[in-house]
Amino acid sequence: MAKLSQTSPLNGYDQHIGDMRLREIHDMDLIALAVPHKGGTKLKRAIKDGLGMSMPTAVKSSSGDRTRLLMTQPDQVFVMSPRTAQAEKTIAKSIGNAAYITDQTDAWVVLELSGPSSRAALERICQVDLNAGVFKLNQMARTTMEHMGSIVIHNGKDSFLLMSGSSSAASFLHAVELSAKHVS
Amino acid sequence: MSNNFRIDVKKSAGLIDRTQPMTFKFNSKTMHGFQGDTLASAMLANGERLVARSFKYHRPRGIFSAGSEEPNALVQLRTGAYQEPNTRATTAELFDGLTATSQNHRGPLGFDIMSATDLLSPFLGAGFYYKTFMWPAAFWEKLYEPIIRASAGLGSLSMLEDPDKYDKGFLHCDLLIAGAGPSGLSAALAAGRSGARVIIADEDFVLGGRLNAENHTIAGMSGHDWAQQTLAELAAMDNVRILPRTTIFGAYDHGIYGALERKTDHLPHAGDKPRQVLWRIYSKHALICAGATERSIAFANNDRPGIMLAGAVRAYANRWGVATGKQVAIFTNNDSGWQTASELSAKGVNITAIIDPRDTAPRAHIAGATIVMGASVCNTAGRKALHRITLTNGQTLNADCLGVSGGWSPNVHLTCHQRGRPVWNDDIAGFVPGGDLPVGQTIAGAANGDMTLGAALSAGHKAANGIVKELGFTNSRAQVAKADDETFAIKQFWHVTGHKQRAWIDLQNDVTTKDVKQSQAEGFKSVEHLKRYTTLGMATDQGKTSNVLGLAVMAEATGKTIPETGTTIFRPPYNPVAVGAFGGRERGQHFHPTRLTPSHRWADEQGAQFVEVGNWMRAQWFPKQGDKTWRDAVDREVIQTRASVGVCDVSTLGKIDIKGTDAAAFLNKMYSNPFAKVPVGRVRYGLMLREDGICYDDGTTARMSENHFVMTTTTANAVLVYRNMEFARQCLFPDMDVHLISTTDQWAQFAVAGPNARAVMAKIVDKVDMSNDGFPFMACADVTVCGGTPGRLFRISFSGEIAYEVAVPARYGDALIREIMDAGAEFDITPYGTEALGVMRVEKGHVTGAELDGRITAFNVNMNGMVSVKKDSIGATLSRREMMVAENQVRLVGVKPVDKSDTLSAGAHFIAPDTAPTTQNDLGWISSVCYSPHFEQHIGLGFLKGGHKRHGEIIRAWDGVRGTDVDVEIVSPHMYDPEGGLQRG
Repeated sequence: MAKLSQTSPLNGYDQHIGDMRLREIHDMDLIALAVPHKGGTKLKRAIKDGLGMSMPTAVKSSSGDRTRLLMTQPDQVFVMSPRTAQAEKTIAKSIGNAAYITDQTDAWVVLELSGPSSRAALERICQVDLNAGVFKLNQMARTTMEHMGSIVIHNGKDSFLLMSGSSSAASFLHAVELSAKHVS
Repeated sequence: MSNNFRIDVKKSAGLIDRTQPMTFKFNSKTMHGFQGDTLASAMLANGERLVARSFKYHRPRGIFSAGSEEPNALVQLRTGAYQEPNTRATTAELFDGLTATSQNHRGPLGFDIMSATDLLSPFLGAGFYYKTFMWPAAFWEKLYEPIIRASAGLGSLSMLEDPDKYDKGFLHCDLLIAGAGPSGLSAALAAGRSGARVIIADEDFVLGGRLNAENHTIAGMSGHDWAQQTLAELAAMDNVRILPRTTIFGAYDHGIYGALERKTDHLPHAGDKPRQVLWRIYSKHALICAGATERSIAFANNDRPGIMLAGAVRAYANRWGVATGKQVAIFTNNDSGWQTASELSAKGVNITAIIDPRDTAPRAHIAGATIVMGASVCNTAGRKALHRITLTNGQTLNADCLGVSGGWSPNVHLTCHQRGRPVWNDDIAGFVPGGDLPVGQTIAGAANGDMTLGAALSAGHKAANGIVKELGFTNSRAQVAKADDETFAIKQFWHVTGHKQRAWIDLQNDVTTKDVKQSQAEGFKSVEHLKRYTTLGMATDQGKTSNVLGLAVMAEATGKTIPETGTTIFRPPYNPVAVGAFGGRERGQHFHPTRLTPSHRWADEQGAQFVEVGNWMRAQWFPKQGDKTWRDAVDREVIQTRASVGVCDVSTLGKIDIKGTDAAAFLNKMYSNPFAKVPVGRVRYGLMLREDGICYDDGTTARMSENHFVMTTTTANAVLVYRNMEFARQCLFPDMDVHLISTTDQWAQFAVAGPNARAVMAKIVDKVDMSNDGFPFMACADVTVCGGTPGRLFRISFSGEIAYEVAVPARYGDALIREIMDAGAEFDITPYGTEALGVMRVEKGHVTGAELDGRITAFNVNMNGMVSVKKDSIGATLSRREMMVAENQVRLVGVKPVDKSDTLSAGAHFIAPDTAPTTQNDLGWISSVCYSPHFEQHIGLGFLKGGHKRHGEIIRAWDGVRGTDVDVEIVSPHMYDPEGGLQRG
């Protein structure tokens, strides 16, 4: 029996639109850590010890060397880190039993929109105020774009990570791509 | 005819670029204008007076104003599918190749046969329709209304799909400034210099408001130059965003304002870009600097082409270098009209007369003009264009243009959108904003009654400084720009009396002083009644030039003051907004997102027919060559699955991972049946109840480890179940250690069913004892597949066959379906879609949403034993209410036509033999039907009173909608393999 090959939701989409680059990020794992009841302090310590990072907040992600932590709800943290063969086991090595671990890599599609006009494009679909003075580097927000639940993260100068459900990845890409085309 | 009315460039260059000529067409007539013109200014420059017909009487009408308040000059712009009716020529920016046509006439514009309506005007006053078309009632819809609609109206739609694109968006700011006139620009400067984030929007394409139309001086330069200098400074600020061609059309809750930006309306073609963008602006504070609109005076025949607002006459001369006539007369009750006369005279335009009803000394000496104080214009002549006016002193004067000024009304519209009620200000003879403004809204400039330049500049500056300081910014030390206040004096003078002819108040809706008086005489004295009885102010211009005039005439008729009479208020939008803009990009397939299953690409390659299931696209069936109907494919898929093996993508079913030391206890609360003691490695079917005891979902939940369960829900209820469980977790059981996360999109899951399912799965799954003992019915496990890919395996069956569901991370889904098909090739495996899935579940007697329709309890589906009495769970108590478990309640049954050739229809009612199909005799209904290739006939599921005890009875399935009446046998719902031996085998 042949080993199963992988496909990403958008087949590695990567395009330049005007002064922007829109691409699918498909080389990262996404792991959900659920905080056990009254286990916040323990998890905070485990993240510090195991990942060398601080707990993110609801509005600001923690950014480390190729690893990013997102607080996606009060008792849930997402770890975005380079792709491994067995994501849950890999993260478990770092934080032990300080959290309930669930692989979410395939549940989300991650886009990166970067370039001078990226904010202008996102204005068309994202109701979050992405002004550089307001939505500062590493800030994140859960929101909706074109009826799709999404997460937006400011990951660099004029650059944003955009996450949404993988099953509607094509619709999500279309929404972002169309916005970019409309302003380019 | 070519720009005969353009003023010599040396006398009035205007803000047009005469080196950039443009050609346009109006009613097939080719004319020329310049860049910077509006359609109206270009038509006036070409001497085009007659541009429209009035709404009701089809009276000849010309251009009346120079802005968005225009009631007359509504035209259809562009052609074909791009045609847009009811566009104001006064705001349509001229572009090379523009095409416009007049509207609301039969025959040529100059010879509209519907103008005969005007001759019948004595019979067509206010309330005419209400009184006349009362009988016979049946005539209204098919005769009267079509005739009235055909004869009275505005433009027409192309009846083609709008090819333009629209978009929407979100903007944020500390301070939104609506209007870029003197007060708006002054405010933007103050706020921008403080560092606050400012958005300043204006509907015009040249910002500056009246500064572009007047000869004002600010800080030693022309008003227009000051505006341009100010805009340049603002444009250089990162914290300021300037939105030209943008109308703030509505003030909504929480500081949110609606704005329409016209992106490409001024271009011949929009290309692939949106024509308009509808912005939702989130502001911390809003400053309304919307200016003021001039209004007219009502006198006999005051609607002829050539009779215009005096301020507009001035604007055309100053901004566009256009003389609106060769012999211009002015009729004014305030100083603004005199300003028009002075400025036009200075540009060499012949002013024939100034008529002012005030008994004062003339405000100025105008060379060559007849000045008549204490008199009024009482009539005019000129059918298609004005050529003579008659004064109350008996004098007649030749004039081809009459500029009328009855004063200026502050634009208070945005202050009214949350029920704010304006108050009367005698000093300016106009309504100003009242105290009940929307939260976070301030008004400045002429919109607030600051009617002179210096006052407007100062008010904007002061208001902005106050707002930004409150928002935490430090005011700039820069002073407000200096400007003189022009004279502003007015006499309240609304209409000229002593005649029997019609004097128009509302030009767009053809409302006259006579109509207002008739409204009063017939008891419709309230302003709200006046508006609805006469249609005053109800057209696309929302009565911008007519409301105050109408109220004043009503006040006079009732002997009240204007404040006592009151005013109607305004609602959004300030100006018309295309419906397409509200829709934005959400058209056709863009209307909602589409979810694709992991095997979608593969299924598409197989030629699958897809069906929308919520947002999902699921394979409905897989046609093959030779299939004559969809049934051929579905029958084949069912037969082949039951005979050998089939595979179906079931990834759309909701999947929820439940983790925590209290996960089992939590599920025990969620499901009506016990879950606390489900062993690790086992799956259990569960029933979920609403709090009122009604079943709303069912599914299987697998215990993967001591503290980890995987729940499946129906596709339709995935979100609802998750939401309800999250509510229970957070609000009902906050002390439980339990966590939920949706993994629906994480896993690609395939059902492999049929006698050869085990053999196929043995080739797919690594190192698992697939024997019935090794992996029995309702077993589950974390596994690897295809040589190491992590996965999950469940021994569950929806079809009634021996079946497995295998799940892998979604990225492997496409590869796995191909591997399963390869592995099953030797067994002639078939993919099956939702139709075959549905057939097999009906044969098996499994319920879905068609049965669990929001009225059905566990008792109804013969599962009352699954509502445990040994524990508490959501909905359990209320499910035991007496009436819900009464013997005469409907129960789930299977149903087969007695005659195997008969068909069944879902929705048919069960009726006993020899009884009438009435509500009283209704015994239940059929909820699901299908053709069963296994039984070779139609079968169905349904609910029948006491049905569990009526197996074997013959009754009727009566369908009044489809006109069928079929004898049916009631059978067990578990029609296929009722003992369940196959799925356990």
